[in-house]
Amino acid sequence: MKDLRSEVRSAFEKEQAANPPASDLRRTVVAATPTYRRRGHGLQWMAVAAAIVIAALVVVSLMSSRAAFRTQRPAHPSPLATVANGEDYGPPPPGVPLVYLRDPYNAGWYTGFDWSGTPRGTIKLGQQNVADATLMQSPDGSYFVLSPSGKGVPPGALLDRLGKPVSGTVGIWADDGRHTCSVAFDRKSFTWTLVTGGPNQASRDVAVIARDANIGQTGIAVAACSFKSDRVIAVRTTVTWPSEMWVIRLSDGQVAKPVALSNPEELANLVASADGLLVAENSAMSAGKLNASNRSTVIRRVADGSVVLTLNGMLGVQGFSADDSRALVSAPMGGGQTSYLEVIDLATGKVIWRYDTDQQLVGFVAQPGGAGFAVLLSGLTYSRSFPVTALIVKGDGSSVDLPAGYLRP
Amino acid sequence: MQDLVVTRPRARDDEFDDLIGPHLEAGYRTALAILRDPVEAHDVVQESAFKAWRRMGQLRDASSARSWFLAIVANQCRSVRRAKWWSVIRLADVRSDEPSIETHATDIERALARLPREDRLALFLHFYLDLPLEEVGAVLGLSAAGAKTRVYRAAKKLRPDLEMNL
Repeated sequence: MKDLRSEVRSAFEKEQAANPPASDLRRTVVAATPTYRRRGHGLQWMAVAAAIVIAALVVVSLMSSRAAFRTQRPAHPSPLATVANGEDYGPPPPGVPLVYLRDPYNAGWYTGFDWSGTPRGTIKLGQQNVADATLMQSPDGSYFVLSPSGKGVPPGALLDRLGKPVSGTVGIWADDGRHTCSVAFDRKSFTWTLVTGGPNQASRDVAVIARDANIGQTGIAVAACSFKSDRVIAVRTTVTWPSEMWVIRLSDGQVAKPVALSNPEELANLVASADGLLVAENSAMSAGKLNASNRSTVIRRVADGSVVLTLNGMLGVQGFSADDSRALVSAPMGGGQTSYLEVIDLATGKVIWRYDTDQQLVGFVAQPGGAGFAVLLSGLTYSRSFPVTALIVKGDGSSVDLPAGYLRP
Repeated sequence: MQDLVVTRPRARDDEFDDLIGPHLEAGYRTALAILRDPVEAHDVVQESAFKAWRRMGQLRDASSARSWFLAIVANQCRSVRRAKWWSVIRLADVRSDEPSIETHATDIERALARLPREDRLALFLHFYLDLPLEEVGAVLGLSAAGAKTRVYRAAKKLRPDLEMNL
């Protein structure tokens, strides 16, 4: 037992060393606690002020590690427009890809913007309790998955373009925006099964991905689901690092390419393109583990493993454009948050858009069929009640600010 | 704006700092051990601190402040985990020349990772934070004997796993 205790302690020490507590944790938490209490009494500005102080401390503490990526900070103008109370843009038009943001004034309202930044529609989820729910749009915004929240909302409700419930199986949206993929785990047989579904569709078991003797902090999830390229990328996560990857053919369920991952602790994650043709092996440095031995982030073609692009390990790929021509990458700010953002042209390796910010990335949507991204940023102490900064970054590197004040959907 | 100012009860805040302040780091480390996410761990500590602040009157024995606060942290972590719906995708080093599936734990970290979270928590509290079994029990809502059993069973699960792969 003594040896085991020592081994366990060493293992925990290694984990803890990767993300040590802030040196001023006690001071900041104690200082913020009474302020935190007052939030409920309408003094949110006090909490915001404390959050800004904490954010500033975190930023300063890691500024040196980000120095390599700091170019001259680009002057990014604040959004000229601000969300107005009661703006109703009517039913979203069919056939127009939209990006949705949550209305801060009307519970259950979501405003859809087209990819030029123009508001084109409002969906209203009515009486459903959506205060804590997350609305995950399909790539073009024609369907939604409403994650579970409080009372009255069924887990993983599927909604149509107008926000009306539809039947079907929820999961990660496929690239066609009409299907979903998920992994189901059977606790009796310890099997992980790839399941497809979608709006108005019955679920279908595609393939058994793996059978485990036992599970602890491990799980298998879908990283990419593509009906266009007939493949799913599934990934096993052990603790916080990936350990296995599978490429599965959707049409016949054949596991085309099981891959064991070596030395995964030195990697932060693997991000797959929506069509499952590219994967990015993000260095653990990109998630804030600055002493990681793996000093590079590598983008590969899944088909043959060939390298498309090698990036500094401080950069991590967040996602790929729908046409696989661009990658949205970030550098860590601290504590795992992502801050400094770039869009890189994968053909040339050139940075076509750069955004150095004190905010963290809280979400993004790839433009359907295109090279653009919609990017959502928020303060370091992000809460669902805090407004986000929303930008549309176009394929040519230009960007459009969406009105300020909206919330993450 | 003046009417919004709330008079800060200094004595209570000072008492909070004295009693809970020393245990905030342990709270963060415990949350990190459970959630594996430093951002969420920090949020949990802040939320737990708020709950502890609000329930200060329930803490009758200052000597039990650590286990009392860590129990709040552990419960908050469980709430956070229950609230999660989408799992975060993490992955890495693709070696296309290696077609086999390697799933067995080969070191202590992998073996620990495969333990159920409550078992991991028991080992973390006892082996890493060096909490006596009475305090481990207080955090887990068990008696000292129950905590001993939990730690022992967790260790038993760990050891065969390690031996099998050594």
